[in-house]
Amino acid sequence: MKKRLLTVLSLVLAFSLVLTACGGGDSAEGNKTPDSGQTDSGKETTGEGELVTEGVIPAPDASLNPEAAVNRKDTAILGITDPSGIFNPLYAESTYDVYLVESIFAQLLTINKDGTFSPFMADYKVSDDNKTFTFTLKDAKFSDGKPVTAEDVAFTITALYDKDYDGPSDVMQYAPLVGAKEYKEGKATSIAGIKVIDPKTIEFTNTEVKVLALNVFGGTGILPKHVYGAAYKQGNMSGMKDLFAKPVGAGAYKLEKYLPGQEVRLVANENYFMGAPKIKNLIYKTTTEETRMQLLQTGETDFDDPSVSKDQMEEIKNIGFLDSVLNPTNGYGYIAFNNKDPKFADKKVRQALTFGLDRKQIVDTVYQGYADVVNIPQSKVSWAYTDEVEKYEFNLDKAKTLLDEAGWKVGADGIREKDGKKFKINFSATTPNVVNEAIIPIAQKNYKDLGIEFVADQMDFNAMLDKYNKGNYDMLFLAAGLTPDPQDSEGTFRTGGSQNKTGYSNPKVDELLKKSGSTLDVEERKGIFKEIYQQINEDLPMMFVYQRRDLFTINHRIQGFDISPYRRFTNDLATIQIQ
Amino acid sequence: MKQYAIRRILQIIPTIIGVSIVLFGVFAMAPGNFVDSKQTISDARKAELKEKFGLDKPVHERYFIWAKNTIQGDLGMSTQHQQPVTTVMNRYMWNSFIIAAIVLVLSWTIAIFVGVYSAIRQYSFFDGIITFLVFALMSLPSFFIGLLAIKFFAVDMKWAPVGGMYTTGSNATGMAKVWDLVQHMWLPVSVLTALSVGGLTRYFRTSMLEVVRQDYIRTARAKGVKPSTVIFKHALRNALLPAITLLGMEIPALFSGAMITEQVFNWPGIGKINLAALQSRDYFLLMGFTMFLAALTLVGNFVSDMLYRIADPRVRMK
Repeated sequence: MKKRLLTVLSLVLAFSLVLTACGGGDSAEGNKTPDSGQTDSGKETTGEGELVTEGVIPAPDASLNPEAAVNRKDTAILGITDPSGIFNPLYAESTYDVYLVESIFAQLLTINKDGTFSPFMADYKVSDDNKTFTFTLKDAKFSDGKPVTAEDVAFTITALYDKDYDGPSDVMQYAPLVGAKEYKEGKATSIAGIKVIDPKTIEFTNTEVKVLALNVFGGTGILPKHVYGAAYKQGNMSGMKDLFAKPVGAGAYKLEKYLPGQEVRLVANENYFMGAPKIKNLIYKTTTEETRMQLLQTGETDFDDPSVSKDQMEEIKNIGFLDSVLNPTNGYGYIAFNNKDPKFADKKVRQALTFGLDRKQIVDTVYQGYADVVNIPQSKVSWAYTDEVEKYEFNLDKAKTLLDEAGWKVGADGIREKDGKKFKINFSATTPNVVNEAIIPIAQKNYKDLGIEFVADQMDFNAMLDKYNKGNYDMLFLAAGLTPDPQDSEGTFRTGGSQNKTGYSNPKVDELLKKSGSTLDVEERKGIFKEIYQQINEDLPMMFVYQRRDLFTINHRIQGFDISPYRRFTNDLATIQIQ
Repeated sequence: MKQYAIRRILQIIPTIIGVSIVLFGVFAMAPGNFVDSKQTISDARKAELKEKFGLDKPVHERYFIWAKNTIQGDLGMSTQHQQPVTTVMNRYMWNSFIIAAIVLVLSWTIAIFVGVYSAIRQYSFFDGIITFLVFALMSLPSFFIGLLAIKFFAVDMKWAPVGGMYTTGSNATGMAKVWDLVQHMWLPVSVLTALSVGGLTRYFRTSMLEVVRQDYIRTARAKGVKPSTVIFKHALRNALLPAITLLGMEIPALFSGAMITEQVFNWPGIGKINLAALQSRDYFLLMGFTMFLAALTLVGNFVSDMLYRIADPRVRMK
């Protein structure tokens, strides 16, 4: 009996220990209350507790900066998710590899805050028929001291069209150069559409007008032919992969050491054509979501991109010495309708389902104010954006009317039916996913009020994508990325477009997309895109849900970043400095 | 003995082939692949890439190609890292190994001593305390306790860095480098040991309790053998026998990486890489790494069987 008692006692004790451990956690959080009280008193500067969801929020008290960071005089440590070690402009795919590529390699053009291009390592002009692009190189050197020539540019771009190229770029789609097909098939030893005129001038000629071609020619980091030349012979690019961890480029920094999973060390490129960077050492350190904030707090990193939430922003404010930059994300979340499914074929049904879903509630649940409900597939900072569209504000009555008009009548059991078929939606939901966790309960409730049964199937991301690609779904949630040029959405909304998995088809939109793709005049394209977005907003091939925020948190001691949704922080690496 | 060893080794071959077929089938049947998951490329480009990677071929054909290359020592290219699978494994696996090995040695040593001690003092005050601690440690949620430890020891007290393996940007070599490693390692090692020592202690305690009740222990005691000799020479050796099996199973765990070390303590291990490979359907990396673990499991099994025969004459008789 006594023994039994002892066991029970120890169990109880064990429990209480766990509880005190939790309590310890709480009191640890509680320790911060005085701090937050102090910052609260300084709250007047940021208005009456109004949520700032965009722009730069400066550090409230830079003097709190920890010694670890202050003592690091010639080194900046940027925390990022682990890159895969693909330090090559032709092959880098993840955002984090791209950061490294943009630090080490330089491109011919640079992107402006509004998403348009400006000359960078080269000036450019476009021919009257919009098919030929001529680039004139400035005096620039690679980090090994050799000059950047038109031959290097030709070499780099040619490699993208090789038969053996298996990187992420799909250049034939965006920049079909004259003779590229022949080169790919091995019928020619060079691409006829790439012409080196002199060591400083190069010309690219496409077979048709493509507005996204500038992305390819101007947005690809230039490889030095004298370094990579031996690794690439027509039809065999395997040598390139051996050079991923030994990159040489003309960018602001050069690679010193790569420690997989830990850090990538860069040193200033003294030969950088815009002038040597002001910070001598730049280190990209691998961080995880779990401890990004702690690393910033102890000064072990100077920069990171933690997820956005109210708590996180509060924490940043409490830490005191961190500047934050909040930008609208280049992308949007949407709920796709299977347009080929008879029940979604009528646009009135799609409109009803949009009116009948409280999107604002979903978005606020997930992003706590750090996201907007959207109604077109475009970022609000784009030149192509328009808000002269239907807002589809939550309205159950309107939704009911539309469903009635579409012929879906409420049946005896309260579920709508048409031609003897009940209205039931199977929602393919990836898990774990915070957005789906909000969509499912809210949609179930809202749609029940409309007389529609909403059932969620939980699955892994790839399984969902597989259903999407095969058109084997009713509705599903996905997020799409946006590029600076709106033409990119052609694949999603054109009839038979490569990313058009909703089965959407509207000849008017097809025609307009074609028109916007064959002119480079921004003013003219603005008008065309307004029409496109208005039509898409009316047709709703998919329900547009939100545009969220990206957060960059930067130690106040590093100054000079000018980050905007289109212009990445890597553009500022040469000019940032340590205070 | 030798004959038995050879027979066992020969048995491993069909097992490993069977395992590889099952694994390949499972991975291939999982919906989606690494080409279809790229959302920005055209269908024509997708078809091109599928042809290049051999994804357009039927599964059995793909298996035989993979098997042929693997036998020749070529595990293929990881699609995520664009590097040979062996290179990727080599980059991350040893980091996982070093921390797992230290935790293994520590947790086993502690567990054996504590387990034995609480067994011979069963129901004593000490045993009660141990039982209490063991259950407390076992019931701790690992991620939470990891983050809490970071909050206390790294952020508040600054006794340890927040995470990672070496100081960022450090060029230390030799002993200075080892010292740097120790400073980064003590916190994750302590947390991991605390989390794993609980179960093991219970295991050794039970095993020891069973042995001390055996007749031969009573005989030894009756003969007047010193109590410490009875426990450490006669009892402990027998109590440790079942642990051989356990140890054999720990071998693959040494290399597989632990999520908590990597996510919370930012350790550059292979667990995260493997999970990402699964999510992105990086078939070759998945196959290579999983087969490596499968092979280690079989080897661990083999080794523990052999050790049994050496340690326990009763097994040899059968």
